[in-house]
Amino acid sequence: MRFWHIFWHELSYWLKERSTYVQFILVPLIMIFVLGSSLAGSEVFKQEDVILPVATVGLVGEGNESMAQAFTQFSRHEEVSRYITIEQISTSAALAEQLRLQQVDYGIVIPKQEEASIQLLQGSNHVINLMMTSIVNEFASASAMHALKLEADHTVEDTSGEEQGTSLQDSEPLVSMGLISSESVTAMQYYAVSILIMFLLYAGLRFGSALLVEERSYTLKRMQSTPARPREIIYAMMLAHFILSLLQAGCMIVISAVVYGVNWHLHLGTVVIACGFVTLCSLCIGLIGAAWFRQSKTLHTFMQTIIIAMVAASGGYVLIPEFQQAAGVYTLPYWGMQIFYNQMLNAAPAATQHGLGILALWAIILGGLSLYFSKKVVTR
Amino acid sequence: MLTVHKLVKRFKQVIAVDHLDLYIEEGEVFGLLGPNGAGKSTLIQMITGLLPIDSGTIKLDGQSIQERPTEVKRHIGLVPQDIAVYENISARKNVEFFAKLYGLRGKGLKESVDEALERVGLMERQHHLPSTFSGGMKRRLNIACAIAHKPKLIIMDEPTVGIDPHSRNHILESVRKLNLDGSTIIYTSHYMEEVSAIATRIGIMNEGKCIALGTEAELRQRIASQEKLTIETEEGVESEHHPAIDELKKSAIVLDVHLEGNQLELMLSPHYDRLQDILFILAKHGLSVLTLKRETPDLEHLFLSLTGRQLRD
Repeated sequence: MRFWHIFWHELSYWLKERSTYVQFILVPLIMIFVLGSSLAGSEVFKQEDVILPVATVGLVGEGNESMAQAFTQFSRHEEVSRYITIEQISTSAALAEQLRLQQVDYGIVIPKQEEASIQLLQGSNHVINLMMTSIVNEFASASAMHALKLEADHTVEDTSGEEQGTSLQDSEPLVSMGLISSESVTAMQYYAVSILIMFLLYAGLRFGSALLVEERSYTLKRMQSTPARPREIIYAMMLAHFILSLLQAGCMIVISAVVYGVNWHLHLGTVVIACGFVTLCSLCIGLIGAAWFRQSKTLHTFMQTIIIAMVAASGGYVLIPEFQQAAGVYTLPYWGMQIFYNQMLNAAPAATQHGLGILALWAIILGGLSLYFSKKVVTR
Repeated sequence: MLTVHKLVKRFKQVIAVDHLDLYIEEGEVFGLLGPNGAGKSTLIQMITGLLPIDSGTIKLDGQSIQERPTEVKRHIGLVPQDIAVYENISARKNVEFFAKLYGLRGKGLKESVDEALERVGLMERQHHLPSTFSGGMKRRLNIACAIAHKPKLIIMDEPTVGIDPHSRNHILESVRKLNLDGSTIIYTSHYMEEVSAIATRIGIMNEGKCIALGTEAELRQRIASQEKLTIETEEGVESEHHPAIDELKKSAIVLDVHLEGNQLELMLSPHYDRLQDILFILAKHGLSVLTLKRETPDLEHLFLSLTGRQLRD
């Protein structure tokens, strides 16, 4: 009962505070609008539908006729033949020469040995290169699936090119051109996600500050002199801030969807889990900060620095793909943001699950650390 | 009721409480005196479970605070030295919040909160925010938050610091009433007259030890045989190292000498009547006496003679 009493006391205090609504709902919504609308015209968020040209692809069999035949048959499928026409070329040198003269747009060299990888020769057209990467990937995965199926059926003794070709021809190619067409996120969607994650991280600052205020006003000591146990006090307050953050996320998602038309492509369970993990990690950082620093100002500086640095590295303010890949992957908001972007782009569930797994790992590590520090906050 | 046995608390190399033994009887008001850093607050924090104990035991009605902290804390009410209330919720909500942490609910809670607010004289201001209160009213609210659950033992750590005489009298009156209603009280203060007015027994702490313990009369008895002589000199004595003070200290009849401004305070041996010997020493060092006062020392002087320090540094 004491736990729920402290929890409700903390929650009701923040819900009654007018500044809560301004700082944690109004300000982020304004930021989403300002960033989303002002950066909508920038190069990275341009929403132009690219009209894909039909590419001429030079194919060199180099003696592995079965594989070359399989690819030719794959390319004849309606979904693929709309984008490419195959031109058989006898040697790799001839293919290179034709690519140089731009007589073909792209080159594929199928090696003699089955185990060796297919050689891809890119042309000068960036769009065709991207498109061909997608098509060849699809062919490779269809081949792999076919090989696995044969193995499962115990009929792998002789995988003749004919059998493979027939099978691949039967399979349905799922070629997606999402990355280069209207399937990328809009500026409003992008900043709605990054600002949401950033403000979820502020839960830690709010919680850490609340602990320091309790300490400074001696009410934390007074609570400790009652039968309430130290960790009961800390975790009840932590839960209150956790719930506050989930409410905040809910408000931001609903209002941004209704007012700005942000399409979140929500899977409710995933959103709750993702927001929950980000908030939990943030609260743990806030608790560690409160244990470490006695001054509220120092805690503010510490948390602000961490939040701004992590969000910037994750590309939350400006999209810098190279930097995000190099540094962002080691930050908390990067994975939180990726989960939302993956949902918005209808990516495979595995990508979302991977992101959730990384966030869970963060939560376990930070949770363990905060378990140690929680006692320090109340007993110093 | 409360037994403290061989209690020790160290902060790195400093021993804050040094093998302290103390017994508090049920129904008494125990005045705890001591200069800053004597170990009073450390002792109180250990009794209330706010600080872990290095060694020794604290038992309330036979139950150990180390072994059953939740059960023991249920019977203790702490009035901290600092005002520990929420400024942004009403006085009544403050009292309710802390009372609920002691498990009070429903009708019992309402009655207890009413009674606590009534006791400290804040019933009429119960729905007001503490941020609108005077210092004295905040101190009274501080007490109300500690007594609503009707604890057996109330610990008041300097509850009258920095307040007006009206609020001080109100608090002292509340302490008396609480005691009459059966509460045992530990009361720490820097004001000797407060302790003298309400305490049934007094303990004096210094350097983590209890150096004197007894009723006020018993403690007075320890210095009843001494006399205090206050001398004001025309020239003024600027330092404790004045040759006149050194010579007075060497004299067999002077037990102790303190310098207070340009006044010398001398503790004399019992029944000493040769005042001219002291005047001779002063004259020898060129000091002319302006005024001279002879009196029986009070508890303040007992404190000074025991600790060598003023109660209020």
